[in-house]
Amino acid sequence: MIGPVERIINLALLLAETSTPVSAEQIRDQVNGYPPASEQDDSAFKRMFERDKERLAQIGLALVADDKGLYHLDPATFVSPVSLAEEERVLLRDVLLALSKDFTFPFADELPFALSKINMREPAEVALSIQTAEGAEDSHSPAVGKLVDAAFRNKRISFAYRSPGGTTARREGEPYGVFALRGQWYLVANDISLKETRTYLISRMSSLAVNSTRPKSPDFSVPDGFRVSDHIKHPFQIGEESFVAKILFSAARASMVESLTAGTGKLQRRPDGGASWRISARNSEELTRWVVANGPGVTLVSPPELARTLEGKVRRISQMHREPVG
Amino acid sequence: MPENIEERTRRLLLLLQAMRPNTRTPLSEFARLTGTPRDELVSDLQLLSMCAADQRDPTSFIPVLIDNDHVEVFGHLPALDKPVRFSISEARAVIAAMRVAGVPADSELHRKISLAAGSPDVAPEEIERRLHASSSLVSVSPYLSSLAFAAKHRRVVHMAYRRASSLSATNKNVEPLALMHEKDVWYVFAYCQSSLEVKTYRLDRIESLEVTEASFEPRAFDLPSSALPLEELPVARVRFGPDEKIAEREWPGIRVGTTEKDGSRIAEIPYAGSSWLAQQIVACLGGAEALSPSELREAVADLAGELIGGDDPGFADGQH
Repeated sequence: MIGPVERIINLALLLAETSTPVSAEQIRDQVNGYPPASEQDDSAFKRMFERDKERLAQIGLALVADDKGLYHLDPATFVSPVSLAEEERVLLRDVLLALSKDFTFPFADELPFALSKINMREPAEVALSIQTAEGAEDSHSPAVGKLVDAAFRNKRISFAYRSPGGTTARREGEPYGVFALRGQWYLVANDISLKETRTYLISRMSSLAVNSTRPKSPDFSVPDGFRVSDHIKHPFQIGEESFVAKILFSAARASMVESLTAGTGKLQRRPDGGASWRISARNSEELTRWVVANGPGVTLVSPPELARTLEGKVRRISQMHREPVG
Repeated sequence: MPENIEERTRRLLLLLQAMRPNTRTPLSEFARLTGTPRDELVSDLQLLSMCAADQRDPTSFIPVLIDNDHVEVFGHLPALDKPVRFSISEARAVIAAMRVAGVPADSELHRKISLAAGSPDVAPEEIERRLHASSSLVSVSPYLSSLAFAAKHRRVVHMAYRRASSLSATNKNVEPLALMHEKDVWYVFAYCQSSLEVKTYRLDRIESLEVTEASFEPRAFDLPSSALPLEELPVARVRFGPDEKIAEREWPGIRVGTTEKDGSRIAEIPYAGSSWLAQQIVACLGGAEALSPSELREAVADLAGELIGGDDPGFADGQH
């Protein structure tokens, strides 16, 4: 008996080899694995064929039907070989290989196949290791993959969510996007009962369920202009306060300004070679810590009262550490 | 365990792509190219040899057999031996991976890889819009590809490197040996030609970098399991206030001891350089105090002093 893998490969071979589109009847007749009409009714054949089409589409081979109902491979199936400069090739191949072994990277299983398709399956040439997120093996990366899939199919989800305070509540959401930040994966979703867009820490989610009704139909649409990167915040932008901070970078820190500000807020270069940055903030404690953690050469200017508070705290630290241990 | 139909189909199609007509290749070479264990590979090749475009045409079977631990392709291969575009899930994975590698969405490399996606169903901009797998707001150093290139070709790198809590960078020549991405940060392990030892450098503290023409001899180096070999480092004692949150991510390898009567906790923290730990302690803004060693305590006092008075213009010139 012919198994499904052999049948699907046979189907792909027929469609790749044929120069003219083929009918469903021809497929049934020529592809080894489809029972003849005398052994299988038309509706059962059609279901089997549709499943096989879906499986091929999932691996990049899409069958399309013309207006006469004849099938052929989508002309976009085959692509030109990727031509990369050596630096690009070394970086991409070795990073992808390292990520394929990173159990916290939710798409690790896909990368060996992708590397093979771009002819980069040779062994890495640079010793390179990656762990994108914290956590033990199988801790939360399967949930990330499931959420990404639900997001791209625009399917509603429900899940239990443990708040930082320890209480757990059931939530329903429309997953808009997923991002990683400081070793954790986050979901940005429209909370259906709260009617607002929220960011959830995925490691606090459990009992995740994706709406399985009408799997091919989207349950919602993502708002125009949504970009998941807009929801990635500096640590001082998460909190209940709301103010605008002004931070100065000295000329000696000029080379680090772009990476520290990461395209957020309003950055202005200064004639002395330094830069001035205005950025919205929601957590004054985190803001002052961020300033110190990235200094010297990073100075909080405004709000002035917060700058004075910071100066006082740093002065006390200096004094305390000049004295003998108490 | 039931067979994963999608995965095996994918494997077989990739195997087909790796074949070349009229060739005889060691089985081990195919195993290496496809990353498939030997037994699985043999089973896959046997199945592939039974596949045909048309069951009525014996010449349409895939001309492959295993002979004496070699894979023999003895004729014409079907048209599926050309590069196939990425599936949606592969495209997502690659675009997410490029984020981790710090490849900007508007770069030439991103464009080339997006072409390999090759399908209107796989819109790279839509993936970018909804999936962001870079681990930090701080963009990954542009020096990553140069360092990987230099490590591969054993070329000396000249770089300006700024230590934690330091305003200025130091120039040094290093021999890059390995790269590591761990909990937000890219590191390079490199032999420093000045200090004559292998050191760990954070890429986000490299201020400039040039791959020189000078080459270096191969050097024995085992990639450690972590960028910070905690077990080999000296340990500092730090007191944390009752309200100070202690996250292992912020203080790698920390061991928190007993709680004092006032609720404060004494912890032991491995550290590679006092400048890094001093900065961490000052950034707690009073929530942490260095107890020992005395050099660390001095480093904290000096750094805090530098921030409020000496060289730091923000506190010194009364701008606020």
